[in-house]
This record gives sequence, structure tokens and C-alpha cells, in this order.
Amino acid sequence: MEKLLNDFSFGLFFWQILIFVGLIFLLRKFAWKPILDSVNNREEGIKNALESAEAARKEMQNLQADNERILNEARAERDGMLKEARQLKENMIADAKAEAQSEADKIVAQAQATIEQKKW
Amino acid sequence: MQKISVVRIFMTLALILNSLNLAAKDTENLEKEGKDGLKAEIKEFIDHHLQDSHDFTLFSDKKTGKHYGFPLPVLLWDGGLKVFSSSKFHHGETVAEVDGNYYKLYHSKIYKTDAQGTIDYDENHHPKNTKLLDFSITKNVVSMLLIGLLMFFMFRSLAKSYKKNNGIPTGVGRFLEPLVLFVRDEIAKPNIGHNYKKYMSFLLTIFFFVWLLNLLGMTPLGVNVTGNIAVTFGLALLTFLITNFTANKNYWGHIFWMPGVPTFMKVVLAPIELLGVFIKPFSLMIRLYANMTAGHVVIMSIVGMMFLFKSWIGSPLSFGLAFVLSILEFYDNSRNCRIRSNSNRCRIRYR
Repeated sequence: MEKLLNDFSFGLFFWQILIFVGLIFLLRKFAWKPILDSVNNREEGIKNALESAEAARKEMQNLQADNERILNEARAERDGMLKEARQLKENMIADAKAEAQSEADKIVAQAQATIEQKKW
Repeated sequence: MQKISVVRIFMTLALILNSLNLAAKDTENLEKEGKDGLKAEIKEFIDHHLQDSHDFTLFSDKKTGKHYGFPLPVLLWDGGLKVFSSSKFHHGETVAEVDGNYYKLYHSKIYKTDAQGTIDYDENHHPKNTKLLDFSITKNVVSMLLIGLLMFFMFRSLAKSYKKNNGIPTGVGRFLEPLVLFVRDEIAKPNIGHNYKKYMSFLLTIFFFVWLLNLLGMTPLGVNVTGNIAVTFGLALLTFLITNFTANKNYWGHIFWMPGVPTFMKVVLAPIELLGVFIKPFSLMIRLYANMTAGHVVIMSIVGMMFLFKSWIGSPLSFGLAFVLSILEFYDNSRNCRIRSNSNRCRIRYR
């Protein structure tokens, strides 16, 4: 302990504090601050880029899902329309048939009635 | 690791140069006598190496009494500032005369003497002469300034390279950036938490300062800055001041009224924790000082052994041993600064 105290040099201590504190302030202004800021900016940039990529991916997915939905709707609508058309067609045919039948029946009946009259 | 082996070879070369004349003398004299002399000389060399010095001596030739290196400025306070070159001391061999006052170097300390340079001793063999307030630019101060400059240019270039290359470092910055990030992510963030930004300048500076000075200590330049108690005391004092003056109520709460333990234990813990406030930086101070001193003594002793066992088996053996130990010390150095910065900051983890 005594040797330690004897070895202690106040001058060296004085210069050490002066150099070290000076170095802290000098480096803070010219090195640490710009370095840490740049690294921070870069990390922020990377984080933002990743986040926006993820957002874009999600949006893409949404868009695809939307497309699918619209396509499905359109398909369903088309199917409905086709079905309706078919129905309409069948109805029309059936109606026409029925009308034709009744018309034919009427003509036949008229013809028969005329024949009956002529016999006399 | 490759770098260190080169460093070791240089250090060995420096020692060989230093002791060339010893080897020559040794063969002429009696073997026993020469060995004892050599042992004493190695011990003196190590002692001298551990201490700060007023000149930058790279190696000395004992035969011709020549020292190779350069003198450094001496700044003394003796009723006014006295500035002169350390070459006036002639490595402690002569008395320096400045403005009618006489000064002499004794064990790297400057004492005021008479014209003959007499030093009076007390019963414990300590000099009784007046010890002066010595603000000299010593070898350690020069090393710190060099490392400071090196750090400034290194990290300035890293900071600049971000702007030039769109946020990505270039050149040596690619090596430095992971180190900076290591301090931030492995030391600051886990130990301090979200409030770490305030301490980054201090942490980064102390980390690279200690690390580079430790590495410089492994070169054959023979500087031993972090193994000097005044330097580690300065670092510990700054750490102590910063932790306690920036501490918030959480920190003091953990010292005077530890949460989560029974009231009785709170009363017992308070004085222990209060002592810990002083003991922690103090132990860090002693730890770095002792580690560096011990490391330097061991490595230099083993390198010195090469010159004692001048046989074909002894020298390669101690060379190998010294080499392995240097690697170990290199690893230890890096670990030291990490632990050092770590424990420094552990104190603030409560915020």
C-alpha cells in the first residue's frame, strides 16, 4: 500500500484526467454522435423497409383475396343468369307449346264443327 | 493472433539488442557471477519498465552507456513553472540545473538537491529531499496522447465514411463498426436499459482507451500505462462521479432501501450497499492496475529467462512459453476491458 501511494504521480493523474475528459468530449462531437446516429438511421431504415415490405405483402394478399371474391361473385352471377335464362327458355317453350296445343285444338274443333254442318 | 506473434518477435529483438553486451560479458566472467549479475539486471529492467519515465528510451547499450530514444519535456512547479528537456537529467545520471536550482531523478521521481545531487535518506531508505509537483509530459502521457490521436482519427474516419457511402462504412470502418456496436448491444443496452444513450460517449471512450493502451503495452515500445495506479485512479474517479451524479431515485433506492427484502434486511443492507458505492470503483482501479502489472512482470520475466538458460532447449522453451502467455494476455486484455466497462455500468442497471 505504501509503495502504491509512493508510486502515485499527481502529474500523471492530472494529464490522464485532462486527456481522457477532452477525448470524451472531442469524440462525442466528431465520432460517437455521428456514428451512432448513422447506425441508428440505417437500422431505422432497414426496419422501415422490412415493415413496408410486410405491409405491401399483406396488401397484395388482400388484393388477391378481393379478386378471388369478385371473380367468385361474377361466376355465381353468371350461373344465376344462365339458370334464369334456361328457366325462361323452358317456360317460353312450354307456354308456346300449350298455346299451340290450345290453338290446334281450337282449329280442329272448328274444323270438325264445319264438317258436321256440311253433312247436313 | 498473427499480429501478436510479430509483436513478440519484435519485443524479443529489443531485449536481445539490450542484452547483447551482457552475453559477451557473461562468457568472460565466472559463470555463476555472470548469472547473478544478469538476474539482477533483468529484475532492474522489469522494475524500470513498470514505472513511468521522463524520456522515451527504446533500448540502451550498457557497455557504451548509450540510450537510444528521445527526451521529453519536463514541467516542474517549484515556486513557478520550470520547463526544460529531460535530456538534462541524462537518464538520471546527472543533476539538472535550471534557474539556479538543482534537480535529480531518483526512481523516476524528481527531487530537489544541491549542486552535487546528494540525496539524503531516512531510516526506511526513502529520500528526504523535497519532492516537487511534477507535471512533466512523461512516457505515459505521450502514449495516452498518441492513443487519443489514434482514436480520434480512427473513429473520425468511420464517422465520415457513413456519409460518403450512403450509410455503410468503408475500409477500416468495417472493422471498427462491429466493435462500436458490441459496446452498445452487449455492454450498454443489457446493463443500463432504455436510458443507455446518455452514457454511450463515456462507455465507448473508456472501452477503446483501455483496450488500445493495453494492446500498446504488448508492443516492444515498453509502455505500461494501464498498469499505473494514477491512470486507473483517474478512470475509477470519473466512473464514480458519473455513476453517482447521474443516478436517479431508483439507484439510491437500491442502496438505502433495497426493495423486495424484509425490513430488517433493508437496515442491514443499507450500510453494505453504501460502502459498495466506493468499493466497486476502487476494486476496478486495483484490478486493472494489478492485472496489467502482473501480466507485464510475468511476460518480461519469461522473456528474460531466455538469456539465463542459454541452452538450445531453454531458450525455445521460454520463447514458446512467452508466446503462449502473450496470447493469453492478449485475450485477457480484451476480456478485461469488457469486464471493466461491464461492471462500471452494472451500477446503473436499476434505472
